[in-house]
Amino acid sequence: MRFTITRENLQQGLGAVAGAIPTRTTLPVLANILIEAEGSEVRMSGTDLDTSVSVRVPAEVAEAGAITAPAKKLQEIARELPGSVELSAQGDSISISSGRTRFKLNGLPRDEFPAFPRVDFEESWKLTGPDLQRLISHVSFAASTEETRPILNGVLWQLSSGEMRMVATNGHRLAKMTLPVESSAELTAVDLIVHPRALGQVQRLLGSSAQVEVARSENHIGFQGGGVQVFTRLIEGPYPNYEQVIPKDNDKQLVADKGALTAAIRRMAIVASDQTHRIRIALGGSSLKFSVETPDLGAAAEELPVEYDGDPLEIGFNAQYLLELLRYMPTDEVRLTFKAPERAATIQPVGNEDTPDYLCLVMPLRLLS
Amino acid sequence: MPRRIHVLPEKLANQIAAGEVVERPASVVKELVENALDAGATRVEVVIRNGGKTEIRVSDDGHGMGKDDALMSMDRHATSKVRSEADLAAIRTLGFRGEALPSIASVSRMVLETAERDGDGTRVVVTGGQMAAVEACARRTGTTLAVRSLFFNVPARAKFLRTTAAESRAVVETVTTLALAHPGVGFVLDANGREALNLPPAAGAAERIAAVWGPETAGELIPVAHREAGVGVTGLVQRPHSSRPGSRRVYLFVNGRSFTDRSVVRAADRAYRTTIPEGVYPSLFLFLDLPDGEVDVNVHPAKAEVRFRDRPAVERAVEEGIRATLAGLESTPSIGTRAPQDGVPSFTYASPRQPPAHVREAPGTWGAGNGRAYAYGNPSTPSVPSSPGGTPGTTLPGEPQMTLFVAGAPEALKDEADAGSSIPPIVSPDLLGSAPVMWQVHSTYILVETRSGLLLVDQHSAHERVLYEELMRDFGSGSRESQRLLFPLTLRLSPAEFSVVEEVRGVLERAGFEVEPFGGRAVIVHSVPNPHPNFDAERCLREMIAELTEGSSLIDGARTQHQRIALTFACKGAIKAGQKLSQREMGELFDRLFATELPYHDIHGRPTVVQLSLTELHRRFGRSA
Repeated sequence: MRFTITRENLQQGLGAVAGAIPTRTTLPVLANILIEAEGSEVRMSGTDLDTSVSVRVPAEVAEAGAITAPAKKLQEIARELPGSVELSAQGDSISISSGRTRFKLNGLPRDEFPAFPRVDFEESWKLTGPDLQRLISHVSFAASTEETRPILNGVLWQLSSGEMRMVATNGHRLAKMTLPVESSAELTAVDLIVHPRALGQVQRLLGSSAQVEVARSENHIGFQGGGVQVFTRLIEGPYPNYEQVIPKDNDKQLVADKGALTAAIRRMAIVASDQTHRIRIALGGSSLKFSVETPDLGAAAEELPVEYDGDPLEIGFNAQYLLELLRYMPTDEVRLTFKAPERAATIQPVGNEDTPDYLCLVMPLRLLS
Repeated sequence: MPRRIHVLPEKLANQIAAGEVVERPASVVKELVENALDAGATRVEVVIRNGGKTEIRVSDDGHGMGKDDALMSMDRHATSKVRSEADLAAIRTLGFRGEALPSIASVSRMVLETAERDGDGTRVVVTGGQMAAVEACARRTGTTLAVRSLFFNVPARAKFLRTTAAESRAVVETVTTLALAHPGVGFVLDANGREALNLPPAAGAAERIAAVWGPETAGELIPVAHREAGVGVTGLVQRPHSSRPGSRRVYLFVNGRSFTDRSVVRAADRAYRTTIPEGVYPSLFLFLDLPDGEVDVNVHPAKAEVRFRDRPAVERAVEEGIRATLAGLESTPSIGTRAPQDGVPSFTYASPRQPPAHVREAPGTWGAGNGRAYAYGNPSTPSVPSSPGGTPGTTLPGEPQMTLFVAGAPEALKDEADAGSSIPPIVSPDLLGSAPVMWQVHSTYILVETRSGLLLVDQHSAHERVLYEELMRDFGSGSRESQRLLFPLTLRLSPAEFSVVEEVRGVLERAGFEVEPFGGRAVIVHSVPNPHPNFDAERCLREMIAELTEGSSLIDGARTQHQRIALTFACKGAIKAGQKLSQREMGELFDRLFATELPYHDIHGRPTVVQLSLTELHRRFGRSA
């Protein structure tokens, strides 16, 4: 194998793949990057066995071939090289030369590199990178990071002919967003459960692509667009019935300024318990009263004028959950809805065209006695 | 008609009194040794033959008696110790009734030799209560009392004496008890020609205990020093994790006098609650110090029991004192030598600088030398850690880096070292430096640098203690925060489990589990507590219900339903071994652990913390710091 590549192209390719390389692994070859030269391009691939990324960059290929090279060292070298690079492999040894600089690295044969999952892109959904990015960035944060219910570690992605929806929850709070899509083919509706880590790669590598193709096999899902491919293992369902828990009769509603709300809650959170982060919210009159009281620590209170004419209500929440949800709200004003101290509250953006159907909900903290 | 009632002859009266005071050889030894101690002896020698049935001889180097006193001492109610009623309320001597000598003399052949000054001695021989001879003899200052043929004239009583071995054991126990109360006095006990005890004068109770039972036993003890509402409590109690079933030793003293009292012992056991498993009782060596008039020792002829004017105050002082001791770092196990504890207050009975029990261990063993089953990795061979990965390239020794500057440490380092050494060692919770670095090993233990060395914390045990105390506190304050669930949990239960849940539903709810029947034997859980981010509520609740249904050594010792729930919740809900923790989480666990009452003990009677002192590290590396 031998090819010449510009430093920029090499760096770009390595940078794209590096995110998929595990930092610590028991399988040495996974710390390597697979380099395949063919035609007028070089394909670089990396995997942690769950998620795989491969990217194609242009190069002048003198001799086709493939080898794996230690990803981290190769990236460090690429960063320090003076100009365009000639890369060649002889057996397991990789030679890198640029200007008057010569490097030799020990690689591993390509046979040791795990095979990528086969996903057929013939039957695929087609959507735009920004749409995908919008879904992922507003929803995937809500997935659970605990290992107690593996299904909640994933993000539910529902694709149907007219729209697609993402839902994520950890059982305490939930984020849900729906976007219309122009479906190209007659595809059956499907529910996919994808790990947020893989969605993070998709967002990073394909978020600005004009078109992203999405296809699935039995156990995997593949994304491709603009020379980049991302594959990941699907999480087996079924996903809990989230629709049933989204409140439909929350009769206490108000609209508030997100910044003011966030600032007030942040202040309350300072003296909230480190363990439960519990703060209290009281609705009534035309104000939203926040308060917190933590034994052995102290108390705080704040009042925020809002337009509200419903019944009074007192309800407790984990302040961290509220702050997190507010952070993802794309608009300056948000609508809050409540029902009762033990029922879910919802937060939605107000007046935004980009995210017409975005809803977060959070379960209250109760004070049991 | 003859009168039915008459006054008893003196000899008979003494024999009857002897029935109360003198029961067996051990009680004779007790009376005689107490007399010796009251006479200011610095060394007491006891010799018994045939378990004391043949002969008991007690010699002391006390102040002795002149001839008149020696004769007088044989009279009933003749004593040097009490003169007026007022004295009786302020008794500081061991004897005071004036009954012992005449009582013993009436049932034995007694020889009293005593001298106030060297040479001028008096010998008094009494047989069965009859004065047989009074003569001068030569003797060093002090008194020797020989009691032979005990109960020779009371055959009924003699029949009740037990075997030589049993009577000898009782005498050893008696002398031991007196020796504990008077560590400054040397004791020698010769039983049937064999030296049963040889206790040189000691600096304190700890040293005395070490002399009686060996340094290992003394090393398991931690000092108590507490004063509350006029009641002083000092002494030594066993570390919870050293306590084992059936090996308990209890010695109680009030104002230097031994006594037995079940409710004081129960108060001590209350202090240990949750730090030791059910059925295990710690050894106690407690010395109470009460003002005159607060304690009446004149209840029982043998003075085995005492009466406290304010018993609840005494019990509270004992419980609080031991509780305070168990809350200290001293109550944890340590690897090798402990750090010197400058903060420990000095007290009368126990030496604060007791010889460390493990000092004589062979180097290279990590604290497992006393035969207990704590596994600190591989106890006998602290081997070089094998390098992970194991590719040949990484194990080659690297070429040494040439240094530019050879002599002198960098200034910054020097400053740091100086600052470190100038900080006095402080006991927790300030034992950590300002920004402690914590290191989690095997996702199970947390290592923290302290000012006096290193602490190893078992994350699960530590969290158990935290959760238990926090839940008990929340039960007390009446409220608990609970996270409502988006997807309520449904649990299907066995009939037995279901009825247990029905029974404890109210308490479970106060613990944060909102549980409701859900038809059949299923229950639905609407909200759960959230003690840590990786909390598995369903598994925790399932395991709790199973434990509550089947019972366990942990919860069977609980006294209330609330305690049962708190114990099982702490055990099932705590962070598991194997759970990775972030620096922040470790820091928070530490803060919360040291906010508890007993941070060094989990709820099963295991330690939460093991310490490795800088002293021990220096010792192992051969540094003489």
